[in-house]
Amino acid sequence: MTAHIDTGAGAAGIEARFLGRIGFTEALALQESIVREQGRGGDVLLLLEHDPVYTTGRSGRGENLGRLARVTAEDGVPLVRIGRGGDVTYHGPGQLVGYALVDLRKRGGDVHRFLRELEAGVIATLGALDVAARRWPGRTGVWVVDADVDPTMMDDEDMARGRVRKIASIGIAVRRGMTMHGFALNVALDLAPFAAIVPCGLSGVHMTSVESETRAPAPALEAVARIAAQHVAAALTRREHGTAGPAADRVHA
Amino acid sequence: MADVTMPKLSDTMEEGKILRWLKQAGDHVEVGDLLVEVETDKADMEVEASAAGVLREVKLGEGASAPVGAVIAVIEAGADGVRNAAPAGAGERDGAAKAAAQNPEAPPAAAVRPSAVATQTGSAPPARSSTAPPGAREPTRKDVAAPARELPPSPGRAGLQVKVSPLARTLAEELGVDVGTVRGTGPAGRVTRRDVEEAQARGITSRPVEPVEPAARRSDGDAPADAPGPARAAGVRRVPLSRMRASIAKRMAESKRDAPHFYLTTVVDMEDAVRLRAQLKALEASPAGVTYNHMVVKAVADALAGFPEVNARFAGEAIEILDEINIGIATAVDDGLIVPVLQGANRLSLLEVAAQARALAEKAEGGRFTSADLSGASFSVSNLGMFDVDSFSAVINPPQAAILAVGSVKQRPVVHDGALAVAHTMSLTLSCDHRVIDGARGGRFLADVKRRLENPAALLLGAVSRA
Repeated sequence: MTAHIDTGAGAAGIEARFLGRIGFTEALALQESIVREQGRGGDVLLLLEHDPVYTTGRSGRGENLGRLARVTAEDGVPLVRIGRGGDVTYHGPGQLVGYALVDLRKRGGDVHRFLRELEAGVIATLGALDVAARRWPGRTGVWVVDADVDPTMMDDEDMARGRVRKIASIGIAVRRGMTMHGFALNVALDLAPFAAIVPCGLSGVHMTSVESETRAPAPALEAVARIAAQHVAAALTRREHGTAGPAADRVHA
Repeated sequence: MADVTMPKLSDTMEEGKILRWLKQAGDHVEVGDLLVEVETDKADMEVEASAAGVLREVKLGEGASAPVGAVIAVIEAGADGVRNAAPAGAGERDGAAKAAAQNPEAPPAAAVRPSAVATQTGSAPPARSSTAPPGAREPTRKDVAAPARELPPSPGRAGLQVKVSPLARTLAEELGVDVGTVRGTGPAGRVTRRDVEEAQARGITSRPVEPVEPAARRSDGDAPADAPGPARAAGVRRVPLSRMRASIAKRMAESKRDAPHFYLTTVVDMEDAVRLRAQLKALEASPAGVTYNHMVVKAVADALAGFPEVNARFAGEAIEILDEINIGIATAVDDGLIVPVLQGANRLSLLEVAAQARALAEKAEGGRFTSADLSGASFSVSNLGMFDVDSFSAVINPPQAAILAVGSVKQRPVVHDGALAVAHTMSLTLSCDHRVIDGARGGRFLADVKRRLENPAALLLGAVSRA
């Protein structure tokens, strides 16, 4: 299944494409081929959902993996080791995965800034779905925070008690100046498989989803992909203005 | 000695963690070589060497963190002296092109491509058309993407070698069958043992040994195997036009008369496409396989999404721009030339293009083709690569505004960075109706198709929009 997505991001923007459901390793091979092309095919935002899979980076910890080995044996959910940083995580149907394959050198090369822009795009997407979400400085990702928690004072206890919940994970790799990976936004994802792991190496983190937050059926994943295409492309395009120096001043004047 | 320091990969980066050293102590490094992977926050970045020499010492092990600016390794300059190009951060950017040049897997962005777009406004049609004897219909057929379902028996492919299996050749000699008259049903029109047996059963036997005048052969070849018996008169065999031939004759003549054609040719570097096809094959991603022509069709459909003026037709008082991108694929199949139309091809992934094109071709071979399957194309692609045709120019299929003629993919000499090399290339010739498309627009469109084929991973994806 594939679909046309209009990002509205202008000619210098990003081609967004919805790939439907696609295997993790297949998508990884696709990302790698695009990165090998060094962005000559243009910047791309791939939106998709994965078949159930656990993935772990090189810093995946032993205790997490040991427990996981039993789960994967019982449920037949594969575990894939990949060449990224970060710990183990889970992907599955109902999670909107966005792989942003862009030439970071053309965009100023600031890797943290890129992460912040991805967060901004996901937060705007969630806003359009009536979910108020925010950043947690120092903890890359997108979080939903209970109304009685002061977002400037969030701590591990808030996380452990589920008063701050993670709704989207973000992580990238940069290969020869091209970004890979991106975000994974839980829309209507079955959160149970996360119980088998310590997501992202953060013990005590509670994962949540759009449906858990709104207590209502979420729009179809393709519809969410369209919304995300607009907002993420816009967030990454704003970055260009932001790094454009004097021209940016004129834009914002 | 040059210190390698923890690079500042972001204005907000304070420290970084070593994920993996890509060079080990004692390794020789060049400026731009990938040296180490550093993690900062949730980003894992490759860092390139900004000095050349020998990596003497790694001071920070994998998994360890250090603040920005801390020394993480030492590079000792080689005999050619220290070439400390730039601070780590800048070097990473500046060295990229060089690094890419050194890595065969990642050709540099500025790599010289085999050929640029060449414009030949009003150029003559290919030699075979212009030198064909008057009245010979065959050359026209070869040039067009017209719906000619019945590929003639092999003599129709005048000048092209008939493919025959060794067994079939031996049998043909034994049975006195001229393989040149046998319609091959094997892969790429190859004549098989069964074809020879059937030909013998139908009474097609050897021609006289003396050479046959080419025009006569061609005319002969035009008769479909099941055509009504031709009438013979004074060295000429009259073959009544089938409805399809009559339609082709009318439409192609109309096209050449009314549509001012011009032709643009470019050569595409197909190295990456060859590799992608091999990978797909290895993955068995598509049971029946993806052909180069499927890639061309997908690239054309994606490119048309950005060039609506090319997906258009001339309508007397106006140019009509079509919403739907429907690609007619004129492709030789086992026993004919068919033009299935892929409706909404820009909305299909490459694998879907391959699957649907095959389904249509099979439908056609089974004789279950409906007029709907053949109509509604907004653009056509004609491929004669399987006949080892290097390049050719096609006649536009009216009312379409353009047609793309595709040559064979094979290794040819190319010039890369001033040096002679060998690469898989493929020629593309775009025929444009000048009433609809100007040279510059046609050139830009053709360049976009070329770019997509030279960077083929994106063809695997689905629909495209560049908003």
